[in-house]
Amino acid sequence: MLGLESVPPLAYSDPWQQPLPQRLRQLAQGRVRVAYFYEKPDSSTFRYRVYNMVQVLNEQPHEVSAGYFFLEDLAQLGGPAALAPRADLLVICRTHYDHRIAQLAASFKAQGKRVLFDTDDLVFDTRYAHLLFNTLDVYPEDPRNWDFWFASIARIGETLRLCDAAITTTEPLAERIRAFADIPVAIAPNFLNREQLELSDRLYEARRQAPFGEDGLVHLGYFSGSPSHNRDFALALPALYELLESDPGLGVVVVGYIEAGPLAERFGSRVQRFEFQDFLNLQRLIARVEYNLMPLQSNAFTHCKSELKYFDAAVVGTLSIASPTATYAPVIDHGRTGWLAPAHAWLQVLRDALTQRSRYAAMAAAAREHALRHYHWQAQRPAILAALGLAPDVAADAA
Amino acid sequence: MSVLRLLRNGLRLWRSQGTRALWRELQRRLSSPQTFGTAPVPVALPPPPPPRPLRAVQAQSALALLHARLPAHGPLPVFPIPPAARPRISLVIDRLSRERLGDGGGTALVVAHHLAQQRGASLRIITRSEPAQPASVQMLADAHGLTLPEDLEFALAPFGPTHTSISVHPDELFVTASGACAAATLAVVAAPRVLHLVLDDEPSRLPSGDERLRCEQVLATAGLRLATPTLAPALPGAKTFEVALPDTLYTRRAAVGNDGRRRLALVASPDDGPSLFHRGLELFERGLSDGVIDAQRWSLHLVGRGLMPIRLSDGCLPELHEPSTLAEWAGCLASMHAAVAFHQGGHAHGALAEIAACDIPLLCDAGPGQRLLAERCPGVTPSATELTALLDGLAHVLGTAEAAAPPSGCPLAVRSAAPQGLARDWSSALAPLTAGLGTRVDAWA
Repeated sequence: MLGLESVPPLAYSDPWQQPLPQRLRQLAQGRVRVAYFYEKPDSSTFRYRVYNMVQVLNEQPHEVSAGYFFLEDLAQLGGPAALAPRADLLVICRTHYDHRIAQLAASFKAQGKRVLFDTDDLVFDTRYAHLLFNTLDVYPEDPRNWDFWFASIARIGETLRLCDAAITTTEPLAERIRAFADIPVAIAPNFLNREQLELSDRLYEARRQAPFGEDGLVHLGYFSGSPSHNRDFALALPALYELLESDPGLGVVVVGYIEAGPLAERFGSRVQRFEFQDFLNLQRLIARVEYNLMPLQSNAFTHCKSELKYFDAAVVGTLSIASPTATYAPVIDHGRTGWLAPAHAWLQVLRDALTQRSRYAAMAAAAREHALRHYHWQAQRPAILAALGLAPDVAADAA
Repeated sequence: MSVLRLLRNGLRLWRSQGTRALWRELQRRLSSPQTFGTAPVPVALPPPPPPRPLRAVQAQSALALLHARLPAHGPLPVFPIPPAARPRISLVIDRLSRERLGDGGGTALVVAHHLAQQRGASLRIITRSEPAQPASVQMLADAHGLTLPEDLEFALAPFGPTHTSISVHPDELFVTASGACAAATLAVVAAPRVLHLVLDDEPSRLPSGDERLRCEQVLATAGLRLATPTLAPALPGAKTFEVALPDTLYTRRAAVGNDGRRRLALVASPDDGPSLFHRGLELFERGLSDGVIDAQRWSLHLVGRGLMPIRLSDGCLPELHEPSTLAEWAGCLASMHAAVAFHQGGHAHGALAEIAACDIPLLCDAGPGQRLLAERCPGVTPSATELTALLDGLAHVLGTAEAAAPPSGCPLAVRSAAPQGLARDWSSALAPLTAGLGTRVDAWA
């Protein structure tokens, strides 16, 4: 892997840990005040759909300001209905319905204020529950798993039904929301936030100085953010076996929930595994491999996923090989900003990619430029305002 | 009888008949199992032991036994999902791996791919016994000139209890390529949505018994759509289609070897019953011994799978060929000057048609498919399978081959014109089938 010693690992802490009074002050700044609601903070959906959005809106807080709030805040606020007087618009992000959510939404509506729903996954329609089950490789013999997933999906769906309109990441997912809830849906893509970009800029520069295959191996990296990715990784596995067998100069890096298992047993030190990383140190690991693998099963659930794995890699100069899903196929320009590998062609595409090292730097620059142009946080404001229905001159499914 | 009574009887006998009579009576009674002077007393036999009960601990679940005996017939594990923007066609097949060429997988893939293209549907390949090998799928596609769609899906639906299920849209159509796959699909999908390709002579190639019974019942399923190659025995109610044999694969390239000998192949496998491997060996044996095959002019070759070294009675050692890819298989066939191949079930669309497509003189059996093949391809000689008839046929075939071969010593490859009676292009070959299956998105016509 590339050493990148000039950008050492970070001592990480969640940047969204702010006390409630501070978040209320941020919310109060603007003429239009947007309250985002999420159950409790995390590094995945919350970061992309709430924290990043609020970061963008509060860059120019005088017109539109924003704040994020959690279940644990409601008691401090004086109850779910206490937020409505402090905001003009509510965005509930992927939250499970309960009595508090019902009251939260009702309080906004009672004051004639719109309530929007935001989601980044097909997790609100129980008609797809079994598909999720299968895709995420959940153990079906335990009825508690069925209870959990059906309840979770149904509750999120019920919250969606409370809302006047929705915001989401991709058009395929928007179609599912429209079909389920028959409400207007707008697209506000996922993007890179300030912290991520500042680090990624430094990583990109360090990478440009590092020789390809610095430690004697060229690494193919797979970065898993959830335990569901075993089946996705399995798509590329036969090709990886064949490549590692035939080329002693190749290595594999797996990060997160995925198990290296038999691959590591077979190829020993050429297969490295890293634990789940925070989102900043993850950027560093992505920058240390030469290729980012993005295999994805093909179904309604996976086709709704966003392009974040692509731009997370592109911004640090790591090229991606991805399944041609409904999202990846339009985003990756095959042969120019990365490669697209159909399920039957992973071996061939990987071979092609590995033989094009002379073009790597130019392709990486093109991919980074594309990522910055479309997914830089500074470029998102118009789309976010349009999705919130606060910019009538921008096309959206306005209510 | 009491002792006193015995004594009285004895005294009476002595008084009436004398000492000798008494002595004779005593001897007689002592040698008899009867009680002296009385009728035999019936002996009460002990009651028969109760029937030994079957030991309950050895009893086996009937369902488990059925699953173990016929695992491939178990229903596909499925779950429903809402319709997609684009309809989907799923091919259900046992396996698609490079080690299983020749089992109809390639033909099934081509047919399913073509149907999906014509209907604007996406294509999914569902395998049962092992995950599909992407490289094999690509190889088959390349060999048949297919461009696989980027959104081609693969799914594994294992036999028996499994944690893996496969999604099914309400309007999804299925293509199956074996009786077991059809049975598994019909258990969970309505028959009008299933098109079953009868690519082999199931059920007749199956041994009598449960598996054959189920295969017969599958073929008789009401509403099931059937399709079979034209070079196969007619199946009532089935649509027919041509199997294309692209000339990029099937063109004779035979060259006389450095030893000046031409090449005669037996295309058969020991484990493939209908290929009549052993009859073919008998033919070679007799052919050599009777002089029909001149070992000075012909080298012998065995082409198939699971072959073992064979020594024929005159010491001839046929060369063994076990091609692993479709291209290698076709190339091997195309390198022969003459061939012997059988299909006892009357299906001639496999190896027999491949050989004929290379315009190689072929001796085969005389099933319905073979006779149709012979009508289309003049180099095909159907024959009764008695050895005498086969020897005559072989003599004819070898004569034809020798007449057609280039002059001895010419090492150049010979490319012959393709027989006119065989399809070379899949699009035109499958057009009638496509038209015949209608345009309904949720059922085959």
